[in-house]
Amino acid sequence: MIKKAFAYREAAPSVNKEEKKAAFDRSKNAVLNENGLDVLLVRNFDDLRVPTLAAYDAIILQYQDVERVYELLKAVRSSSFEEIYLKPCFILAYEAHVDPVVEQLSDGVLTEPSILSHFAKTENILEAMAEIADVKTDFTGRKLLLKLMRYLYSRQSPLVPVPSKRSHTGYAFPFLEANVKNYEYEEIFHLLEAGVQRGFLSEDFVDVMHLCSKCNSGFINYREVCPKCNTRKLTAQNTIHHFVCGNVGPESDYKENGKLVCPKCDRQLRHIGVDYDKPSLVVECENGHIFQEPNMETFCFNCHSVGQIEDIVEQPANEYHLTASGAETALSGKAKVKEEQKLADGFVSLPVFRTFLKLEIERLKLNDIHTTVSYISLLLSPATLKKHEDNYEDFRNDLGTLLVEQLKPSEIATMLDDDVFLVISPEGEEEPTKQRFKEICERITGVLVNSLDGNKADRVAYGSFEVEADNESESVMMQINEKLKVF
Amino acid sequence: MWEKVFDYFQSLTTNDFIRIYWYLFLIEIPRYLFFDYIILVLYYLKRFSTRHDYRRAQNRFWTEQPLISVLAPGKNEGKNIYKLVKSLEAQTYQNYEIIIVDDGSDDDTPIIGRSLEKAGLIDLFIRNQVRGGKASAANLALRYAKGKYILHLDADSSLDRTAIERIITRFYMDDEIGCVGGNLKVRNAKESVAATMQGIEYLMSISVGRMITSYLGIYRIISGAFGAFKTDALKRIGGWDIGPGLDGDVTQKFRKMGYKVAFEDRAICLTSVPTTFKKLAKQRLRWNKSIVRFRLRKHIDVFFPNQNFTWANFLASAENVLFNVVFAFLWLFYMIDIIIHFPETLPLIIAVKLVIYTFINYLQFFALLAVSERWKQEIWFLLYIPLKSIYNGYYMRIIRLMAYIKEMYFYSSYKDAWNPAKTSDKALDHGKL
Repeated sequence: MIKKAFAYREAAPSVNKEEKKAAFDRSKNAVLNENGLDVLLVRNFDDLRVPTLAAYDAIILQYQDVERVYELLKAVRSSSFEEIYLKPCFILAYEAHVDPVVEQLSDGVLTEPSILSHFAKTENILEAMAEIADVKTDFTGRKLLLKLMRYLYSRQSPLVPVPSKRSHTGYAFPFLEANVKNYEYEEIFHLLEAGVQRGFLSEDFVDVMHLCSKCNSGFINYREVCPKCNTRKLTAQNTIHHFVCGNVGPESDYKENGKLVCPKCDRQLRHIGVDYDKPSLVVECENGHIFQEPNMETFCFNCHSVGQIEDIVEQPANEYHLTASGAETALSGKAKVKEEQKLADGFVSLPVFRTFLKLEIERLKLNDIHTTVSYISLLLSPATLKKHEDNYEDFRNDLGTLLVEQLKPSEIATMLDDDVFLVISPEGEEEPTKQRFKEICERITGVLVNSLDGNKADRVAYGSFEVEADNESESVMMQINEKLKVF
Repeated sequence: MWEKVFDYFQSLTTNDFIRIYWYLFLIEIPRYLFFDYIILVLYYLKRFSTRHDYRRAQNRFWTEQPLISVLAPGKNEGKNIYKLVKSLEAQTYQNYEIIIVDDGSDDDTPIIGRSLEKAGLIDLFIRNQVRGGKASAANLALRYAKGKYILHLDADSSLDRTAIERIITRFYMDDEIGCVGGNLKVRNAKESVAATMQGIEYLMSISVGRMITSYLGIYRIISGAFGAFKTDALKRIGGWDIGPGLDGDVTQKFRKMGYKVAFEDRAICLTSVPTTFKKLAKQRLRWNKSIVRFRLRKHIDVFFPNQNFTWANFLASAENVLFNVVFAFLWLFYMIDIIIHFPETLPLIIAVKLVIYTFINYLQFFALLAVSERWKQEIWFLLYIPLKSIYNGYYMRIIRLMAYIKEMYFYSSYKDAWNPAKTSDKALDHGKL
């Protein structure tokens, strides 16, 4: 039943004799057949190409070089194709301690080259993949959210923050980090918040991260400084009150050959609470300033910025569970893209857009012209999404209309899911088009924030790239998909 | 009634007068009227004759502009700190640092102090979690003081604009001066009769007494509410010892070190005084016990010829003990004598005495008003001058006697809650320090 669902596997390379032989060669990759499943045992990472992994039911990665394993797992999880990024991947680690981030990107750690100990889990994942793979989707746009939901659906487990020094923030969401370019953590937080706001995810509190306000790094040194000169070299000492003579001073005043001797009356202090007590703590900096409460400042190990405690950003590190609505969306592959989506005036449907794109590529082959494709993504804050929850389609269409009004008559626009617009600009060169869309997006942002009850955190992201004559329309769509990943 | 008093007065023969009022005529009038006011005239004459020295000292002071460390230790004084800071901001002399030590307050003092420190209004705020007593708090402040001179203030003190300048200038008149006392006046004199009487007392007895003793070189108490010290000398004597009565004790230690002690009547500090006679009695019991504790116990050595013997120190303590302790008991015997021998005419004797006292008090009051720098604010005291005879003559005397007896026989200053028991017990254990 599982295999039936994977029609693409018919085209996959079959397990040949050489591969079977390789099972015994510890320097080569091998294919194992376990209970009818083809499992690729990866020992040699050099010759491995990620797209070929689609041909196998599960992957076992030998844990020799943590970085190679990590990079491969990231490549798998960041793939755009369900049959790749949802692939059951296991780590074969005989004795080695597996990096928790790497472990979380996998589906489990094996101690021998067999998935039998995780067979049930593998079957569940493959069944979920089969369900999802049945759905034909053109979903791009805020694809990462759908991708996350599908990943969680297939694993039937929550997204858990992993404390790790690998993570920029201190808590890693390995699956998301693998899918976000340049570790745009704000985008990760934004995406998760949006997922919660839209009811796809529910959150459980785990911890609070304290992040640098400039770079979101969680690696911050909290240090005490002199409130007068900001020096960091401080010495703290207890004061001693000698009851008999009333002398009070720092402990160092009393220390004499390992004993405590009062500098005022020369009596030896023997018993705390009887002869003396320590009523306070006094701090002295290297410049001789005295104080009791040092100022606290923060130093970011990543961007080296120095700031105040108040500037530190508090970001919850929650555990995220897929909700019933999230599971439904993961299966439908449509997110909020409804079949009967009402298009705003001036927009064509996605199939029509694809047709135009194909025609435009054909035109490029015949003529020496330039065609540019632009994508505009609405990055709305959770607050705005919440506000327009009930009339989101109208709200989005208002913004779409605003866009269409500023397009040239020759330009063709379509909508992708809730928040992405695509535009073909025939005979448009990349740079001028990009500049024009920059201005258009600024105007849309202005209207969004000022007139449409938006929020200052709302953004409109955009990008343009020139279509090459040798492109296929599918590869252009994939390119768009890649570029939109960061959103 | 007044007719009876007048008739009684007229009926007295000279012998009767001497027999009945000998204490007044042999002790009080010569000491507190003639002697004091002659010296007071000399005090002002000396000030006039040394006015050029004073000006030169002032110039030296302004040329050097030394750092002054203002110390204000105390418990639960948070509400007063800001007012103190503002009073200091108005000073003509501004090169000072403010060090506040919070001696285990259980109110908002730590929050107030810390925020004033953060705002840069005070230089150092040290919070002692556990109360150690006034001396320990002052010593902690002294430990971190950087100034050439220490100005010790009560947190509820406020100063005339020129107070710091004037009190510190005295150090520049004579290098042998180790500490200078400021002139205290009562800020809340109108709050109650008890406060008014203290206002009169500070003006007529305490200030005058300090001018006299200062002139004679036997000035012996630098008040903690407003006193200035040479920092190096104060550190050398180990700062303050356990109280109560630490003001007189620290002054005595300066005297023993050979320093001169001066009083600057033009350096004015306003202070708040107890507003009920009950609270006042408690305060004065504490003050008077310290005479026995410090003059007759801790510093009894000043009466004996030894290598550090000086006549000035001898006279300073002797005058204090004689006029306060000895004459207090003498007055007790005098009163017992009168009560036993003249029981029928006792009310008339007292009435005549009060009339004589009141007459003398008015004479003194107008004399002082003539030289006061703020006579317009003090003239209303004249309404209360008749009460001064009872206040000084009976109320204060009874308190003094009680204090001396309690301290002499029961060491009660060591049980005073003004100081934490842990320090008082230790002081008692170690030879009644």
